[in-house]
Amino acid sequence: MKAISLALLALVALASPLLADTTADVVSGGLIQTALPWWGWALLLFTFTVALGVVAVIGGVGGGVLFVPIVAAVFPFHFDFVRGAGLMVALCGALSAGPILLRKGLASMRLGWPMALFGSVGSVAGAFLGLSLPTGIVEGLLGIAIMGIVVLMLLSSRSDFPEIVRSDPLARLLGLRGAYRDESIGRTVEWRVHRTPLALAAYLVIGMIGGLFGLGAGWANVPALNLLLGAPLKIAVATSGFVMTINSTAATWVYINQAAILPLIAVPSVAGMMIGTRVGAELLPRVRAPIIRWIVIALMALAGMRSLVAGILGAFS
Amino acid sequence: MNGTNQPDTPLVDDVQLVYASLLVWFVRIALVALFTTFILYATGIVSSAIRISDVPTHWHLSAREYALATQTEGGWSWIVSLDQGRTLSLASLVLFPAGTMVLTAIAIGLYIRSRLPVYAAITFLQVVVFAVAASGILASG
Repeated sequence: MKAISLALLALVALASPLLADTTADVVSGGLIQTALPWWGWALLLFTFTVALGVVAVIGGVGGGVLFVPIVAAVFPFHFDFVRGAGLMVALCGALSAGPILLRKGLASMRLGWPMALFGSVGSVAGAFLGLSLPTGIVEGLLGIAIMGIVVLMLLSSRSDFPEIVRSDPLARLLGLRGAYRDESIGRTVEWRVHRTPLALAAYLVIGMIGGLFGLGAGWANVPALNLLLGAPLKIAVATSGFVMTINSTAATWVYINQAAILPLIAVPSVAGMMIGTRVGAELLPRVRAPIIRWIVIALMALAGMRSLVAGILGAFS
Repeated sequence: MNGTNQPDTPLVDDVQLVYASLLVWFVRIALVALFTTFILYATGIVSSAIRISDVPTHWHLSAREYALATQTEGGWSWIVSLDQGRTLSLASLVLFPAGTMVLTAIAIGLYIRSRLPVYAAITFLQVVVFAVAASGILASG
């Protein structure tokens, strides 16, 4: 519990001075003279994202969804670069976790491909939209989206083993069924899904939100796979990571093409988040996760409100 | 839930196992490249037209304004300056979506070999979506 408290303390301590005065460094000519050298920023970002990664895993949310609103609130980077780095964080994290989940049969590629195809079309459209709309509008919309995600996190229930009486015709055509060994109950669980066309439509929207704001979409993937399609929770969580690799890849190409990815921001973020999520996974069995989850929800709500206010102020300035 | 001890459905299909094995190696190579090229960029061992110390003076600008201020062109123009530290580091980041795209293309062949034409078609369409996004056609059009 001490490590988590330290991580949260680090987040708050790091955030306070930057939040207090990030614009004081602006000098004439549109350039800024920052108080820290480049390596100071890189180190600060790395430390911050390690802490964010620890909190994200224990709070049960994806790193990407925490990264964009909180880093945008705390660091003086333009929103375009924060979203670009957010997509890289989501992509690298999901790719790293992919092999073990695929080998164990927890992630189902067959279930993931059709969802990812529709999601990636949405994410490309969202990425273009995000890079062409005025920053204030995107930031305001992010605030609304984050508040929506917070409500979803508070209200949504999860079902470990949904009962599916009959698959829909499309699910049968695609062979969307499978089996996995559930060690917690010592049995092999067979699964199938339903409402496939509805889920495909939902993925268009989920992908668009992910691409627009540079968020990993684990917060939406899991409810869509579990509650809408009826996949068991473990299959939904693991397959969500696979779908995220495909959707983030599609949107990342758009950000790369628009020169919206800066290595100085993206690399320390990816490194920090990867280390943080590993530390978080180690600590997970030893901490009181529900408390951390509430803190994460509160942090997200604050970051969402800040984005909303910044968006409104930006629209009227 | 249908709990059984001897399922009639294979736990993991062959395509998924091959994809997972390739993914392990790809992620290892990409991560080594990511950190190595960043060290080369950050330490100045490989020089850059835009020095890393100058990046913080511009990062408050939008991507479009940043490109104008630093005379960085968008699209695939970076590929001709791979001798520069910044571009090398960017290329290592590009490895991640590029590798996912290559793995998806490999999956097409694996599904054809496994006689799963529907999945071969889905993964083919997925590669088309990647290619359109990567090409920059939509941005220039």
